[in-house]
Amino acid sequence: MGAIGIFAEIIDNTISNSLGSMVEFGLKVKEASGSELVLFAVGQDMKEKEAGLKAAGVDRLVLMDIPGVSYVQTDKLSCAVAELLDKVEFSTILVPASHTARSLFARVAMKKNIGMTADCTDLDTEIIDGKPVVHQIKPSFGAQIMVTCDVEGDSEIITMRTDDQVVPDLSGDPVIEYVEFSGADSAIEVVDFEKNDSVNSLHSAEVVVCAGRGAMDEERFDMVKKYAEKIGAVVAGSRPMADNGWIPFENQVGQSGTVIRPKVALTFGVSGAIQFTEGLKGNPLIIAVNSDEHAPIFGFADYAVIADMSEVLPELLK
Amino acid sequence: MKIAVCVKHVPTSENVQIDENNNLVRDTAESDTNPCDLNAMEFALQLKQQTEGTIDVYSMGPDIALASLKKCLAIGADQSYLISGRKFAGGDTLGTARVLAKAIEDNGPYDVIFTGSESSDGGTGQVGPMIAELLSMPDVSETVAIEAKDENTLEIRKNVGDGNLVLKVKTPVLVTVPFGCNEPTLPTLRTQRKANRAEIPVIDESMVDLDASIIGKPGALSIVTTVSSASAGRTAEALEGSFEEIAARIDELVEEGRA
Repeated sequence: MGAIGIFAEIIDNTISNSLGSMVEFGLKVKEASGSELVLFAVGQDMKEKEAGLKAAGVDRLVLMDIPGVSYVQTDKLSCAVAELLDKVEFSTILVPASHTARSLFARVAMKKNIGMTADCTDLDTEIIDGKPVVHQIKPSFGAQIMVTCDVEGDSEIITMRTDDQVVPDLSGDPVIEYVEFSGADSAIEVVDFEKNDSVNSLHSAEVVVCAGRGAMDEERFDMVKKYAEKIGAVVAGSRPMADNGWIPFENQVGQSGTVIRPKVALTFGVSGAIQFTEGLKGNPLIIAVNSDEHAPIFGFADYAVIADMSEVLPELLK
Repeated sequence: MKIAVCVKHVPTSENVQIDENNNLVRDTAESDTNPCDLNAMEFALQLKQQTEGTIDVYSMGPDIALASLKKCLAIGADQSYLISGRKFAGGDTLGTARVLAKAIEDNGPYDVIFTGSESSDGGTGQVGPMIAELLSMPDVSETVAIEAKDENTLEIRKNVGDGNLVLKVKTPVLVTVPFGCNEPTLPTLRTQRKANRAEIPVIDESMVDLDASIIGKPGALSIVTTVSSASAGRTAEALEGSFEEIAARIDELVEEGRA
């Protein structure tokens, strides 16, 4: 039986904040399966990073040191990871669902013909015929759909949606080993970094007002904006609002947009598709206004106002 | 430069049907081109103009995908190909990428291949990088600007959250493009009419030389086993009373939450 692998992504020569959450997922599988838990990483200056990777509960650290490599060089890194997988037998490989890690592991999956499931939010491990089977749970198209996937074969790659606020407990004492990289070139060269000057105020906003499909009307959206101004909130919206040009795409909250962590979020005419709710993190107080009492947002919000926003907003503006 | 663009025709309705095999029923639902694929198409057009290149567009799917292929012709693609066959159906990302890569390789070589970051239905974002792997080229995700520096070098800006990395990349390369990073060109009535009359060649299973065991349903390794409702029903506490009372309670809650 192979080990459970956790890929610790090194971004910009720093251990990614996804580590804490990834270790939690790994420990959950370990608890149910009893398999060895191995944390693996590829990058430069790995010796200096050892202490930051010694997560409690991890049995073994497998590292590969590649001087000068950048995390965006997925052509080169995929060769490195493939070599590492030749040395360590994994039955399950957990990968954070970042843009670079999913690109890297899609390449690895193809190289090794390993089945890959994307963007899981939870895992459920059960023992079938003496072997652990990891059921992969993920949201899929539409508001109401959650799918469970299984991967066939001796190994599987699963990308996980992480909560990057989880701080890892680094009091572990894993065995540390290094694997040599035989080398490969990259066609990608990093020449510069241009920092964004304009910090999106949405990220630091304590109170956010989110408009959804139901607010796609001049008069209604106008009231939503006035109300946001009155309470000092930033206006954001769901994907249909951005798709139709009501809000700039930077202010789109959700899976394909921005993830925000406000203290309070008020939603107006947002149905509450999981593509949207995935963008509201940090457990804010959520007040949802929607005229459809069956809207999924009411299964997510703390407070429900089941009414037409055009009746509530004038009172809020008084 | 010789440019290829992969587009997907996706359901747009939020009420997609699921059949007894846990597959999405797409042909009865409303459908359109996957949004970020049009952003990818836009960069292809910019590069075509800059390098006096050509654009071939590929879409794998049933006949309904012809609508997206015709739209791309109307926007400025030179040729579109529909990749369609029963043996291609039911595949996971590995099988889909193998078929697309083979069709692209047979018509290639291309200098640049564009795909959207991810589809709005499956949303895995895996197919692009997998095609790059099969065709032994690098891939760059989150591309928000692209410019040809010379015959075989591109300068690509990759969004990394707090800014853009500027990358120098040797062609051939596969580039994935996120939604909203540019303003897609739209067809005009005239260009769309012209595109609607175009004959679109179909690449079928007899033309794609791949072992049937590694594509479609037989080649799929990631299998959907159950589909369930994500909605847990209403758990929020309802605010009731007159609209005036509700508004007053909202004001209180916002102040408490902000504190």
